[in-house]
Amino acid sequence: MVFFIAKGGNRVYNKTMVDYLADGKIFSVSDYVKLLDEGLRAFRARIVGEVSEVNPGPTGHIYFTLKDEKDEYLIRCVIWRGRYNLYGVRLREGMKIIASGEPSLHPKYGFKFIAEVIEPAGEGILKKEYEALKKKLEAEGIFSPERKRPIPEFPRRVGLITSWNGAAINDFLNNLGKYGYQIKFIDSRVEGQAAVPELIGAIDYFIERGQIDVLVLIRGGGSLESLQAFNNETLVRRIASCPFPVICGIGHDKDVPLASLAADRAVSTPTAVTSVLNESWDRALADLSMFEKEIIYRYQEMLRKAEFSLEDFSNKLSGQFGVFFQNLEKLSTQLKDRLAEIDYSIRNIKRSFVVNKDLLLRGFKKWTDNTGIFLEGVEKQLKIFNPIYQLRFGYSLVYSRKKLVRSTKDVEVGEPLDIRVSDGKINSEVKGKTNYGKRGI
Amino acid sequence: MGKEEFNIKQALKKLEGIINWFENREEMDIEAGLEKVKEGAALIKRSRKELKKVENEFEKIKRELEEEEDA
Repeated sequence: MVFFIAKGGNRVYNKTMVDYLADGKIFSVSDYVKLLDEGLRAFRARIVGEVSEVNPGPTGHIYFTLKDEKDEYLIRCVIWRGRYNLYGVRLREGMKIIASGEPSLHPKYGFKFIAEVIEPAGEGILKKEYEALKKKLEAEGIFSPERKRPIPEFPRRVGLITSWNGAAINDFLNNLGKYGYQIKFIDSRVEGQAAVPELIGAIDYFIERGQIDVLVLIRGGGSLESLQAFNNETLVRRIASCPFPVICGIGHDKDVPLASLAADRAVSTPTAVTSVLNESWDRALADLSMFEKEIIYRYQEMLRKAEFSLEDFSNKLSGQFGVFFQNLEKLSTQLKDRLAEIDYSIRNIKRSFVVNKDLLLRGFKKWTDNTGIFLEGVEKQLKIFNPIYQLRFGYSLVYSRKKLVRSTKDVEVGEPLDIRVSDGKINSEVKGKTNYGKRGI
Repeated sequence: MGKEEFNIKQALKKLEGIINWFENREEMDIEAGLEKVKEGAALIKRSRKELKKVENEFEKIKRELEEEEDA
């Protein structure tokens, strides 16, 4: 009876009772039944057998008998209503199942095996059930692409459900970028049918509390049997009904777990889930470098353009006034030539002055007259090019704050203006302005 | 940008806006361009910091599994 003491957990056996047993103590019936019941709990086991006599009780719990195929041994079992509904395994006579749980001795109803988990046993059965459920949920549209929500960009608050002891959680945490994630982790079993209640409980926790951007469910690969929980109908429906997007990273062989099919995004490893989460953050980092280069490049381009347009403007200016400059130059060479001639003449005159004074004087007079006429002409021409002279034709120069007004942008309404006309100045004021756009007139 | 929550999504959108601003400029406003460059540089710096400095927080939630009651 050592196991009485060995039994741990929340039902710690009262050691003094065992001491009393050894002492040959006399028990009351109830004390003895209680003692036996406590002791029986130590025989927690998984039993495989064939179902017979399935009886739903008045409160919804299911009473059934498990027996061996050949021998006549049998064991009476019960599974509580909540658990029965959770697993989605409909017990029928002749069905082969594995029941996991512990025996108990009830004061009134006697011995019973309390099945906490039931799962179908036998080759091909799981596969058949998987296919049937897949077909059913598919028909309902649970897996349809239209139902899938996008994984939010820059997720921060991540709900994580997996086993604390598995390799999955390490893979996940090691590959998750350092982007300030707030990970809310719930430890859950992930192995076999027994994981169903914890997985659903964990999902429900997040559904009730909310406050996450995305929920992540991960576990390493496994057989159809070990992944059973992820093919549980209640769990699959719960995933589909989550108010936040769900990412499943569940390894698998051939058959994709139905949980993955119902998730908004499914990948086959925990590491791949981190890629999904990091995606937008990684991209943002890359975008930043791109933006940085782009902004500098574009500003440089703007500077280049500005430089170019300055140059262009000065070219246009010199083009426009080129004719004027050319004329001026022509005039100045003409003047220079004339001056050279004058210089030459004067020297000539000096040389021949003595020869014929009168003749020379006459000739000089004529020459100077001619030169005067020429200079007058030059003066006239120069006048034409004088902007002030232009004012006589009705053009005027408008000044605002001593600066020449060239554009409507140069003045503000209400500002005083000085208008220079041919013979003087007019004081004025801007009453209003209209911009004719780039093309001007 | 003060102490308020920095939003990386908005920052990226703003940066994109700055690039578009340059793209759609017909007149060359060098001063305004420089302002945009400064704004962009600040946004990039802040975003980089936001993207890289923060450590992840890990919280293990204790959850009580309600036990099935006996009949």
